[in-house]
Amino acid sequence: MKQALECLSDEEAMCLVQRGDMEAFALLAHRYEPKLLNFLYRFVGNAAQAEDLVQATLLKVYRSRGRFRGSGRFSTWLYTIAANVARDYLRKTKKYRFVSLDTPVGENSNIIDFFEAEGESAAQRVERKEMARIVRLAILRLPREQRLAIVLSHYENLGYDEIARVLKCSKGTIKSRVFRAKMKLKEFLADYMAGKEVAKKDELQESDTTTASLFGP
Amino acid sequence: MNCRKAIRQLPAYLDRELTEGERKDVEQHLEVCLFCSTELSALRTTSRMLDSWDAASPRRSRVADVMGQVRAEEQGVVHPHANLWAGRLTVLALRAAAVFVFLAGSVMFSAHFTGENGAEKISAGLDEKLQPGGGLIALDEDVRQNYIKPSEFWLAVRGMEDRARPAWGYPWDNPLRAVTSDGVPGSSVRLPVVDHTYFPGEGMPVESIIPMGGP
Repeated sequence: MKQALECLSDEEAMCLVQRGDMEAFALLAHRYEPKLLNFLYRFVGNAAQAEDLVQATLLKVYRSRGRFRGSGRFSTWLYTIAANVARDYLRKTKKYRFVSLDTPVGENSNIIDFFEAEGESAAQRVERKEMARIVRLAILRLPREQRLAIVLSHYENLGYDEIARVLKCSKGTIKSRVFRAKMKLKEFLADYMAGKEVAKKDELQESDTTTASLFGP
Repeated sequence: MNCRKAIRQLPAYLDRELTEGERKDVEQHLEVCLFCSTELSALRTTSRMLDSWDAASPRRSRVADVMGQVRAEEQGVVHPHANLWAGRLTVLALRAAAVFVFLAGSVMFSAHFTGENGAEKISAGLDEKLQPGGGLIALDEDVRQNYIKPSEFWLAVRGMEDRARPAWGYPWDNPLRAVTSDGVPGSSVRLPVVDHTYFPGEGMPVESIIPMGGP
């Protein structure tokens, strides 16, 4: 029975949920939990809050099951609910704070790193984590709707048409939001890279001076 | 195709969201434009940098919690859609309340602007929301006749505390210039066209109209 359930498409499973099938709902919840977590984490920028929002979203999906129309894709409907839950959350808690790229890691302790890639050196890990931190902060600096568009397009790999359906606006609006977001991100990240280049040059110059003094007259 | 148009298409070009014709136009332009080719390569680098932010995985699955809550709710609910109807009724009641508050507010708004110190009272009473794309604020007859003579005004918006001072330099600290809707002194005020990049979602409340001579 369980195996048979797992073969169901999202939309078929949702039909069963509408008829009161709890197992089908559990299946959908398990299927989408990781996706939802990533989406919400990247939108609100905080892992613990994202986990709470996943729970709130799944509950809302169950409570609103009567409103799902089988003609559309379940995932589109789910993203719409998740985006609304997250927007409400940000509005109510006024957690919509921008963070400075200059802020040291420790001062943003509410942002949690989950992953540590295997098989990389300590230096590579530090560099990757630093880059991830900068990207995360740059994304958090974007206005809310642009952030939603970029998270859905870049990280969730949704096409502009589907994003437009999720956010209930036109494809042109999405195209414009993605454009603005990408341009801002390019600017933020280029500033960071420029700063890094300068630091690298300073470091090289310093080591040249040290070498010269070691081998000097 | 000029550079301005080409650059606007570049993110969609990278995301393969252009039509065949648009894609060809962009590619033709890129062949002859070094500036836009450099922009494209910078956007590609940006995309690669975005990839460095890894996916997250839950430390603890919440599905069991959700299922527990759902089952508990189900046991307390007689009709499977009872909650939905309760929710809909609540929404209807809230909408009715909102209409009532709006009507009461309008009456108070009209009654508000009758004293000698018009400008101050205008400041105290305005709470219209500045929406993306602009809009109109209808003014009370008394205010129009007595306090808003010039055809240009300044609007101060509030509620910026939670938002960043943007690095791209929008002058939040300065009020926005507005003109009367038809350029004639004394009619309604046209809100300035606002780029909704800076007004995501709900719009910003107008705190005051400064009628004379700017801020």
